[in-house]
Amino acid sequence: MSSTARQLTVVCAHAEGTLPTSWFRTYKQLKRKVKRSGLNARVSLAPTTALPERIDVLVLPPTLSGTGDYVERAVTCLTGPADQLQRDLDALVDRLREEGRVEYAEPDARTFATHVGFRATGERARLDD
Amino acid sequence: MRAFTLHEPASTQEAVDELHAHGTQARPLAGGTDLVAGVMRDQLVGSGMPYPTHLVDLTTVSELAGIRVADDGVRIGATTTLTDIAASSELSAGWPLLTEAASQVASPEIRNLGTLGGNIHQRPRCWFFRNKDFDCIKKGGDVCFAVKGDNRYNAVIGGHLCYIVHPSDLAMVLVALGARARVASPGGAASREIPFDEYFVGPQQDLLRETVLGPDELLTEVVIPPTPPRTHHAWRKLNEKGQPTWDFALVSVAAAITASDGVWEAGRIVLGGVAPVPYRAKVVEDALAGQDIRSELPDAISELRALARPMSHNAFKLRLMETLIERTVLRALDSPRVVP
Repeated sequence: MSSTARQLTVVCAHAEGTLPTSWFRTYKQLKRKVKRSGLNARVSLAPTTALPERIDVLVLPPTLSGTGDYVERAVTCLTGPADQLQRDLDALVDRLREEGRVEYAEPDARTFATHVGFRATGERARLDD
Repeated sequence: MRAFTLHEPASTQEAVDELHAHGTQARPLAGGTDLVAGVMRDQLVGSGMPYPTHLVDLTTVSELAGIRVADDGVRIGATTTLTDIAASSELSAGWPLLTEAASQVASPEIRNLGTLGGNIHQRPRCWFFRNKDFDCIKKGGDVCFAVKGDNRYNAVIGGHLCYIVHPSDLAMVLVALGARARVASPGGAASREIPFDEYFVGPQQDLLRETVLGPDELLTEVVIPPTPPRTHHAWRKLNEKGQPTWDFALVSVAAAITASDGVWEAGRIVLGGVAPVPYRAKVVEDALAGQDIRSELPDAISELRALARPMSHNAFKLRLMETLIERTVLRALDSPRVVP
């Protein structure tokens, strides 16, 4: 494996204060696709005003394409309708694999429940006593 | 609570311009009973729900308050308090549905502070959304915790990815009365009117918003048309306290029915506490059109069953909903006609 291989950061962006349900569905589809591929990648959703510092792949809805300085922050920017995004992401992942720039996640990586009812088991769903 | 900047505009345009200048970091403030004493105190934040750092106080804008009755209906300013609405004799005569619902919101203290605009725009009820430690879909998270969690108070109709319920009693009444919202936009643009039928946005369209308003738009007043002749109004609200005030509705029903000799001519039946938006029971209305209401009512109500999608703990709401619709419609028929 290449020494430059690391976790791939994929961010689906949306305008702050609004999240069309159709775009959320697209994000979920991309997230499932990446998970099924077994790649060590983190797919997240964020408003354009709170994007992470490092972005490998920025996925934008057609309404935001080509606007904002955040586009320059991303190594690769994808935009377009949902079906085209899926194809573009496939092609990108294939290319990154060939270049040895992504690695596979641990096959037995465990997932953790964050809460049981109102009892928290993880950091995010913690409840104060 | 975190620090915030309070803006005190002198006019509606100033208020809208302040909202425009600060974008999603700014929120309009009126009574503050939900925004300050709920959302901000409880620090409900997420990537899709930034903590407001600028509050634009609308109570300093005198033109936003007041009740003005005219031939073409009534105009109620967005910062008119619920107490003033409930106590208005003019509203009580022409739109008793509104005054009755306003008089049953929360507690006297909240009605003294709470405003019409604030009641319409309060954030939804869902105890996962209202808990700061749950990064739910409504706050920009990935999942709706109610789907697999305790969902006894969540939506049974119209939920989609997110199962909040709309908490506003007055919002459903305004839909029932065919009211319109008057909205101011930034930059001196002419204000526009939006029917309340089209005002609310459910999670089927957008997961972060509850109305069609942009972050820099402002509800300035509500316009309610005159009540048509031969119209009866009725309102019922059921909650766990066993009395209408003090708590949010498990189910509530607003009915404005125009009938002649018990036959449905026109009208609206709107449900609260069961859906992410004030839910108009169109299937019931359609089934009753031109029919004898008393004899056809049970069959008409059963049409709702096909649309409902209860979750693991909230199927009880269906029975409540059906019973409450029946009682409210019968109550409307037995009540005196509203004199326009």
